Amino acid sequence: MPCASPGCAKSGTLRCPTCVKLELDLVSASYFCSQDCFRGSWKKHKELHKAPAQPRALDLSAKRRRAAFENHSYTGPLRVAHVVMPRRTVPSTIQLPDYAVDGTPRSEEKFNRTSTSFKVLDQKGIDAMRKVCRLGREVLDIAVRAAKVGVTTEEIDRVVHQACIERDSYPSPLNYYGFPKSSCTSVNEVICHGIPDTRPLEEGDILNIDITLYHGGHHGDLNETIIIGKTSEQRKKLVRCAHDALWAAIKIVKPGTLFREFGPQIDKVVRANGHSVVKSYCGHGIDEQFHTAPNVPHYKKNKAVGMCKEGMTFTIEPMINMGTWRDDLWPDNWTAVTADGKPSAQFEHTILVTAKGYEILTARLPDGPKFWWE
Amino acid sequence: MDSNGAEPCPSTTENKAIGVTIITGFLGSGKSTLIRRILTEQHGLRLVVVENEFSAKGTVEEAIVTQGVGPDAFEQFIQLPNGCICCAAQDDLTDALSRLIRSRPGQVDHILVEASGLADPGPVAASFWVDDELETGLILDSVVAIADAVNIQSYLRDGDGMSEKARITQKQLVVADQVLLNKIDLLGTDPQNSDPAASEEERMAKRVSAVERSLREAGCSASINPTKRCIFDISKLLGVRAYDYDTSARSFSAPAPEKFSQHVHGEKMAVGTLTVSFEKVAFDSTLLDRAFGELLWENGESEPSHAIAEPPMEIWRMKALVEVEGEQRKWIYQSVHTLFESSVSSVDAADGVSHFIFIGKLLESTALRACLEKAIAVNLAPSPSSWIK
Repeated sequence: MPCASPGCAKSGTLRCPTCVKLELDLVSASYFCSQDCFRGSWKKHKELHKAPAQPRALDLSAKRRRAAFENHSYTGPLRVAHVVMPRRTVPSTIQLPDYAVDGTPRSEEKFNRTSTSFKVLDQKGIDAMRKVCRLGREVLDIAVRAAKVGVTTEEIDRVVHQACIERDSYPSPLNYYGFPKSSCTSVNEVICHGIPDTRPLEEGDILNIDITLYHGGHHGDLNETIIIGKTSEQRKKLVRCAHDALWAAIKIVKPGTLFREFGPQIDKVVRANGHSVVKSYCGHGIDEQFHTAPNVPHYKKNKAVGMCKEGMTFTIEPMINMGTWRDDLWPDNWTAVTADGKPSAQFEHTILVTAKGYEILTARLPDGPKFWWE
Repeated sequence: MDSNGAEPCPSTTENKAIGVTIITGFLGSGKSTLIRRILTEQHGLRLVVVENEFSAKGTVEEAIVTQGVGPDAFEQFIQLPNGCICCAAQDDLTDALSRLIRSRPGQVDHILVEASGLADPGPVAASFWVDDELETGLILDSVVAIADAVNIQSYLRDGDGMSEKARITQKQLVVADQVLLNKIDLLGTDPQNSDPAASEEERMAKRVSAVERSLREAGCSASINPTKRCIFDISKLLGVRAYDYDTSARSFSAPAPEKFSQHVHGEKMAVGTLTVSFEKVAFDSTLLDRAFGELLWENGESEPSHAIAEPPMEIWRMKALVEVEGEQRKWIYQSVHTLFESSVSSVDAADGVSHFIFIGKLLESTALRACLEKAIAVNLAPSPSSWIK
């Protein structure tokens, strides 16, 4: 292969690491004879990296997926199930978010994340958020009822997908940065972003189901952790702690509260229980975008920017670990697991700031499934 | 607040944390010269240099990481994806660097980041001021601004001091913890003021101090070090720990009450340092956080009806030593760009004195004072009305 540097006649033996990483097939433009030629051509060469929209992960065929996991050292007992069923489709009548086709949420990326003023919804926006969050709650309740010993997370995802379509809604996770499924199902040591697969649920598992719907141009996001069959007191306590931690934060929401104030509230509950708070994943603003500013960390002593104002909508979703707070990422680039393989639990609501305090847009319904302690 | 002793697992990274020095300065000021010098000089430090392309927004798309020169050099490009915000507890670049130093334990002593000459240094510094809780192993050491002695004055005057170029130059000088006034050998002598009896060195010193004065007038309060071809003792440049609370506490050694060194260029360009002091009060920590939030984030968000009003004040950097209600020690607060943080200092509370030092543009004493007053928890002075009783 000749060196891609203009005017260089030598043979190119070094391939641009970014091209390799992005799996770009720029064969004739990717090889260089030396670091000097590489650096010299960098300004021009890097433009090639930008050309196609690259879904962040997981357009891996089953074979490549298996290869990626071959030498992976797992932190806990859970293993990847190599069969991920093909991506589901949605009827053409359903309104799509901008990433549905190529995986890139362009409007989110355009948003200036360093801004310190966040979107305040008007009445129309608030109504749309109420609607989509209520639909999201219905879908989560259906998913929770479907989760039993022996049922696969793939089956739960199928039920979720169907329930979304019946509600004229797009399942927001589907193809978001290439995510292959319509919901996230996180079992035991999976902190979040677990990919539904063909593993049947086992007695004693704890399962988090994270649902987001897109309807009427807005997203509604919520999740709950449930117990499959019977489990240990320790795991039950963890699930309860995650729930209580979420509520400790929700209770202080009102105009004037800073987003940085939630972390200490969550930390108090979690520390009293001897658990730990995940730091790498945060709550987020949500409206016409799936994930937007503000960034809502769940750990204490954070420097999060922003103040609650009437009409803002965001999520709080603390992930609580039985052991270390540290996380690790599976080679699928999605599945976040605890670094010590111990279980993790999470609860999430989408919250609207009101004049007097808050409204839980994804609130539970009177006839909904019960928590283990109810 | 919990006492630190109760922490079950205090961060052990604190001592080992790798300092990050951000080098700013306009194109041609000598950033690359300094970095080349630092990379090739024998100083015993193992350094990683990050050259990146900060966009105007302060976000980073890619970075080139270099360590050393010659056959053992290691060079790597990091492409930074614009990941979704739910995974963004920290910036992509700090995350990538944190992983990099963890993968080479004990092999890196310090990190230098060359910021684009056109970048606002505020967001760049803020992105490296990561939460300690994240235990990234990185700590923001200081911001170094390199100023081209020959051209800096014209940059500051650009567009009557109102252009973006003038603003960025000024902000680089104001946010910096240290300034290298470079290329003083190219200054030449001032033809109008040259005293034929003076030696070459005296004339140069005169010229240098004239430039220094311009930097001070532009609001620069950092130490200014005149250099030729960026020849400067690296040990003085690195390991400054400007964001350490002990370092910050030293800036209060001689605080002048209500001093305002304001410098006016035309009608509205006014950059400088303003100290607001309070006596015989204690602040509520939650309310004070909210007051800082209001000052740093809400400023300038005027009602549409006030759209034509004054341009808003901008707080670029803030340090405060504050008496907090119910605390034995005073608390140190500091901010850069939109971030602020507090910590317990080693200064005993009880005298009820609090100082707030603001560095920024169009700072207004009354507005700052009014906002901070809302956070006062208790007035320790007996009020005149109670005397009457």
